Amino acid sequence: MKRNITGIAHGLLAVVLIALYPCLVWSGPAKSSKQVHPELSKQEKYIDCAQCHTEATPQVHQEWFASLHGLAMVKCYQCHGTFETFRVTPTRQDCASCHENMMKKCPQDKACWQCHIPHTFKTKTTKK
Amino acid sequence: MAQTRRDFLKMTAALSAASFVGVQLPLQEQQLAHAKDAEAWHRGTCRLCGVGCRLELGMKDGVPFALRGVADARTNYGFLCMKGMHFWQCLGHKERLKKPLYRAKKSDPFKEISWDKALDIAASQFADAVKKNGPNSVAYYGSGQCLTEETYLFQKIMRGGLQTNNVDGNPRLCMASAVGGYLGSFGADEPIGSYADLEKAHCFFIIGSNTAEAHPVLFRRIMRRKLDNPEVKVINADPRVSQTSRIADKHLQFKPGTDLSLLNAMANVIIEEKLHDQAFLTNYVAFKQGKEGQDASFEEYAKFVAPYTPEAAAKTCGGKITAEDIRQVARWFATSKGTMSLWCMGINQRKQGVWANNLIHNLHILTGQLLKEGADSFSLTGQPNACGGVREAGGLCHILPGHRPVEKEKMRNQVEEAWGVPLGRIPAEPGMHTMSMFTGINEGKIKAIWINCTSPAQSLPNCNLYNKGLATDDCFTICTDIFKTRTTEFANLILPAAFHFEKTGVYGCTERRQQLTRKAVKAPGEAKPEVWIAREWAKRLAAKLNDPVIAQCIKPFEGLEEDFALPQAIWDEYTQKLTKGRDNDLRGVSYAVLARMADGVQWPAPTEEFALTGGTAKKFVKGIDPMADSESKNDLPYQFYGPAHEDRKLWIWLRPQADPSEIPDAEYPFYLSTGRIIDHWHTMSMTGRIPELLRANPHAFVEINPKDAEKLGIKPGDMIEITSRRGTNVLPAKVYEGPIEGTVFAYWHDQEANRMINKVTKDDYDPSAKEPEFKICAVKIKRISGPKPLTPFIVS
Repeated sequence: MKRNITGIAHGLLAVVLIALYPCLVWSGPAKSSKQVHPELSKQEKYIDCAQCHTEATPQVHQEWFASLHGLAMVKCYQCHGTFETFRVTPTRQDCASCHENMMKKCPQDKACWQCHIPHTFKTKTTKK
Repeated sequence: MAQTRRDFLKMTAALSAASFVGVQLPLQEQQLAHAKDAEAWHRGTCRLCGVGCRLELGMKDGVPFALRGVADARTNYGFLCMKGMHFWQCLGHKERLKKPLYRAKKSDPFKEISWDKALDIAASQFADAVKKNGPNSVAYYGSGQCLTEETYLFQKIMRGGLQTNNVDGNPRLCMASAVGGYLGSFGADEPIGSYADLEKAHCFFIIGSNTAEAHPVLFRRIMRRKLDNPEVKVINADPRVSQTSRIADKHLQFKPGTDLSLLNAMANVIIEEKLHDQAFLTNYVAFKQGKEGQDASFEEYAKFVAPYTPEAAAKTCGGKITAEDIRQVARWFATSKGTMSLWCMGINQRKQGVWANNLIHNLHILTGQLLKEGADSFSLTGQPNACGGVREAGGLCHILPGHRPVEKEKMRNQVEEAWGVPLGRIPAEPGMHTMSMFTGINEGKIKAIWINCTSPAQSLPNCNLYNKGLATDDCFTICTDIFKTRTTEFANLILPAAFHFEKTGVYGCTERRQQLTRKAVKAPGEAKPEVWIAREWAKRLAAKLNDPVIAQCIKPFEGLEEDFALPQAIWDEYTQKLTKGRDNDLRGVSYAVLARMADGVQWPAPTEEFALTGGTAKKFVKGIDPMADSESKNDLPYQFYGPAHEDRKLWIWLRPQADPSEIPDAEYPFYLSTGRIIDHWHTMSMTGRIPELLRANPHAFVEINPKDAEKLGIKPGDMIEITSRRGTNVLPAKVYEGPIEGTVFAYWHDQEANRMINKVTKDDYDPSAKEPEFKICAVKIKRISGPKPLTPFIVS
């Protein structure tokens, strides 16, 4: 029951924050993405990303789990880094660790996520 | 101001929600580290696991900063797992060993000493032991992570120089049963086919392997094959439902140790339903039984498997699978256009490891699911150079370079002639295998041991027992490594070694593929390549023992610089002098050829011209394997020229179900099995020092079936005491439908004293392969408290 309440609370929170999101994001000067992730205690940093995000962002977690990355166990930190290197938006170089060949084939002036939907990794023209 | 965990959850909710409704996050230019910004990308092979992924190390201003896959490599097509992406962080790690460390007594603190003094001590200790107690009082314990050149040179010095075959390595703990299986069934070690079969297979039979976590990049290929071709069948047979099971059409969950029954039942179904390939059996197959391999017939084999009815096997396997399941998978296996079996430690680390290997091969031989596209009986390898270095280049106590059995005089003489040492120099008796070597330390028989690039204090089964011997001052212990480990805690002398990309050499992966990695980075401090260490040690050994034959062993390598010329000369000696006419003929695989190939060369490759085509993708097939043509004895398309079967046949073995050496009872009512987790590798001396990997799994845990947990009042996160007849661990519980009821499962990477699961595992071993049965033992479990915050532990 507690889990359900928490889930509903996060759902509502997500809706509110989505509405506020542009203000939150654009309210200050551009900063390094390293500053986006909140600070945690040393012990909290030993909690696997997915353990919190299953609760905090269940839809994202579910999308990832059902995706090719989820099936192949490509984990959060492989794209987003760990606390010292955390980036909300993975760079092209992060993708290039495995998809270097696509760096030449894909548009050079776009970030990967502009064509590949984050966490499902389907291309925006892909139907399946 | 520090934010709370709740704030963190809110923020991640917002950011992630934004991303999936299409809000565009700001793209910051400084985040874009394009390849063009890098000074250089250096090509090499992954340092971890046996897949052999080809990759490139990125360097900026002389400092490593990234690794990326090589898209045109046939091992990985550009993909890397998280370990392959991150191991560059070991290169400049602050905890790297940089100076030789020495202490006369193991209770003393270490002191930094010079290389000159360190090598002198190492030589004196080995020389004194040989003088006082004979050549078999010293030993070398190597690793499937050493470069081929390193393994080859050490074993040459030990066998040809010190006259002992006490040369073994950690592949004894993981691959020896596979070696025994291949030799017994096919007459030749190592798989017939290649990874290329993965994209051609129509049925996968994955047994005793959590491929998704232990070999992630190969799993991706299997996954892709299945997703693109839903009609492809994936069978996963394992006592534990794992990540690998996610792509399975059928998961066969059996009680630990009952899989021999399952495999024989599948053979029974195939014969009953006449799904075997009679023409293949007639042309290529013999039947064998008993310890000595007495001849048998197809009829005797059919009669032998007849009692293994699907109904009987389903019952033996524990009741979680049905007779119809067994019939179904046997039909899929036999009738697909190409069936590929894949297995790893679940089959190998067993009291009946060789038999289990034989029974998988039986199914392939019986159905002719071999030698054609997409069909193979393919053992997965755990380490990057267990095959290339240890199995092929003389790294096991009973095998000389080039797959030569040590007990055969003709084979020894070939090696002695190649080395220019007197005939009879190499002892005829095989040396001590791993388990007898460490037993020998406990018994005071081994007076000096060199442990290279591995941590037996953590990785041996029942390690408490063997650590007693290592802890005494009776055995002088030398460790070569890049970081401190549980084993360096027992060392007298720690020699700092150069890491991958800090030295040059070859790795040979699971599919017989040899790949070169060249030095790209200077090793930290005074760390040196092992080939230099071995040569300089041997030079001193020759002087102290006044033995010109030891000097002869390193004479071809005198004066060569250690970064390229020295390993190249060692590789050339091994390949040119000792692989000619052997099934792993590597004469065409020169450094020059390897430097030109994106993804190395598969043996046999007798000429450079052939090696430049990539080598042999499928052994024994005329027109593909040059040795199948050169060794051909008849008009048949397949030629089994392997050294172990003089009749040039494949052998089907009559092997019965046999229990593991320890089964649960009233006192120890659960099975314990152990395995690997995706983020960590072996004893986590490397992966535990990489923050991304450490945090993903900072400590081991024990998986418990929910039904068992309920019976024992265990909830997720509770601290559980696991006790066997040998030792105890205390681990947090993960309660989920993974292990079959009555079985618990733990990971073996954790270095923390109470979480080293090999204190609990069993050291009984396969009588033929001498590989221990890590995978099955009996334990009792007890909840001792609720959840506790745990911190990781790495030896420092």
